[in-house]
Amino acid sequence: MLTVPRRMLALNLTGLSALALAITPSDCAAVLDRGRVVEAAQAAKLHGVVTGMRSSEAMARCPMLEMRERDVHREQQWLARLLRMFDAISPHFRRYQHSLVAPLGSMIRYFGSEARVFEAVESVGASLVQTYPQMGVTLGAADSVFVALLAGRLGLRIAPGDSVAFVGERGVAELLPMSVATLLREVGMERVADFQQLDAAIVAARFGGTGLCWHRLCRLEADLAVVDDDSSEIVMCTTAVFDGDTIERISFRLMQPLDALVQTAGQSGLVLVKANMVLVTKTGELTKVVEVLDGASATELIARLRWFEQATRPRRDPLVEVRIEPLGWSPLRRRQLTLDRQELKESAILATLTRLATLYGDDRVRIPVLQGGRSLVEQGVWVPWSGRWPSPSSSDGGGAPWPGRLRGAVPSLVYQHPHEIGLFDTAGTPVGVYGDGVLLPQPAVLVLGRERLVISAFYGPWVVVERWWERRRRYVRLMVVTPKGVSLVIREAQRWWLEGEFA
Amino acid sequence: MYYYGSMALPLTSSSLDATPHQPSTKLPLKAEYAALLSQGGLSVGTVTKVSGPGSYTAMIEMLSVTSQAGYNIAFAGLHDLGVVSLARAGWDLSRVILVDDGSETMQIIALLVAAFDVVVFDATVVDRSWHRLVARAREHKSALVILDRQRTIENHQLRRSPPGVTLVVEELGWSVSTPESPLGSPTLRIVVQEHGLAVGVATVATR
Repeated sequence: MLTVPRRMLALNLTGLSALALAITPSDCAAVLDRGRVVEAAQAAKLHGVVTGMRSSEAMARCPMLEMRERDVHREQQWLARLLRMFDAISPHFRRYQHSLVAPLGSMIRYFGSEARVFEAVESVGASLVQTYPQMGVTLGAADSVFVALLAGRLGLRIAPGDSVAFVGERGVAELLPMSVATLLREVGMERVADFQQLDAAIVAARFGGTGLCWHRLCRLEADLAVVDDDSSEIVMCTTAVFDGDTIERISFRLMQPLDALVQTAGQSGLVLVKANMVLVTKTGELTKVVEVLDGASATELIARLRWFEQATRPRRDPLVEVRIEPLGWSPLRRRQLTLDRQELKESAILATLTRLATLYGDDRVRIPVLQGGRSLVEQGVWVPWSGRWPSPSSSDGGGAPWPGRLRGAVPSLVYQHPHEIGLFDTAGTPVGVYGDGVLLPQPAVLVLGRERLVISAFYGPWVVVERWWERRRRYVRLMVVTPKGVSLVIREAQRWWLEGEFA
Repeated sequence: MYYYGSMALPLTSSSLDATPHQPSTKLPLKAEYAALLSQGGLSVGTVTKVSGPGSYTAMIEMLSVTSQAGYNIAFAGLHDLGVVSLARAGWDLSRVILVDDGSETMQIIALLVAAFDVVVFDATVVDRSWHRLVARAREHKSALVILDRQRTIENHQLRRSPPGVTLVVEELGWSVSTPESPLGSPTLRIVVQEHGLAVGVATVATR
């Protein structure tokens, strides 16, 4: 028996994957999902990159193609934001995959006619496309959600009562799952209309439950279920900024929804580990992705937002909107609060380093790391802090011998980029190294920039030959004593370099 | 009169040793350096200056035991400090951080003193906010170590509020080579001044 048809409106949104990854039409980029292109930017399409193509094939067509992995979570967040744009037309819009659907009945009652509803929806869709040029919006209407979604993809308005016929005109391979379509084509049924004509008992016997379900959908005897959004779900915390607002007031307003968000997730055993902070100003957007390994509380996130605002926003560029968008959740348990002095100290250090990293840049806060290598610069480096305290300890090159390494005492100052220096004798003749380590003439003066330092003693030279089997590197080490301290200098490519100092 | 058990325990030097878990007014230093100081360690909330050629080497040697004891040490702006020299001196590298300065080193140091046990920086960065920084270090029980390599820093702020302890590396010598250290190693002749008075002199060998 046919159910009462429900007139539905469907909006098909394309370009959502690109929007979620902030890919603009001019970017030569494509979004990948399981090795296949799911969306390509306009510039990539011009090079022949199309949806469904394998990544290797896309790369062959466009060698400069930037391939980005799909972020479903961000897509859902964007879809939720776009959904709010249509709230002014109807509060009954719901998400279904990459589409929005809403019953037309109530909207027709409000706007007067179906044409007027379409005009209103099209105007919002046009402003959406204008704001986000990577997006595309097509509208469709039909007598069920299933058919409306299909019509939305094709941009068609199916007249009331014509939906069954419209579905019947589709090819079985276009509409039905592969298992059902293959069987139908084997028996010579190319159109869905033939499938609709079949008796339900026969369909159940031949195609099982899946086939029967599709049979009922095609005959409009059943429809897709659109699950209402959970009203308690908060996909982002946002606040508008009013004249005279201080960051303290904004933080205060954001705290409540953010705390609710963290608490709700906490009840499901999740902690927020990654969030995107967005400061919308009159001239643009400032964004920063923050990661909290042990899970962030609302207070921590607000503190970070304030530091971010303090560090990045120009004073003359007023804020318009502030957002915190959750990006990553983890089932890890948050660390319990402690009264242990050592743990409190570590928490204070973590907070301080996080604040410094936010205020002055992540690469400004560094930790020492030991690694393999021959030169002092290679062996020990300062790398950006990882977000943990105490920081993970590093191994010293796995105990490899590293011939050519300096044994014993090493300089306290090591220059990441060795300074070029000059070594001269008392008459001003440049010092050179000849043969297998013959130093001629004897060094008496070290010139570093404008500084001339008298050499009171020297020790060396030692010839080091590295990697004689491939890219040969030959250099000479020499220690010189000046009033500033003891300097370790090397001669390479006929020039002298200051490698380090016992300062 | 009632005596509690803990009060009956003899007060040995080991029971007064500082550990990260037990608040203390002094931080442990390498024995040769600790012996030079009247306090026998680095007092928290105070300023210590290490000057002269070899000041970086002296600082690395002096604080190696502090680092090994589990104290957290921060360097502000000393981006050329050798990681290998820290490791060879026995530092616990997992508790060391370097904040590379821009133009706001004093603000960075002011943040660091609130969390770290020791903050080391160069004397050239000291500015008008010096007094506030010293007060903040005292409040948060953090030790400040200033390095003045050239001994030429005639800082007005430092003259008005001089560090309590100054270690002056008067001479940077060089020891003979050994199988462990084929190039030899530096030796430092250090004069310790406390409140302007010389209280100790020693020649210290480094590793």
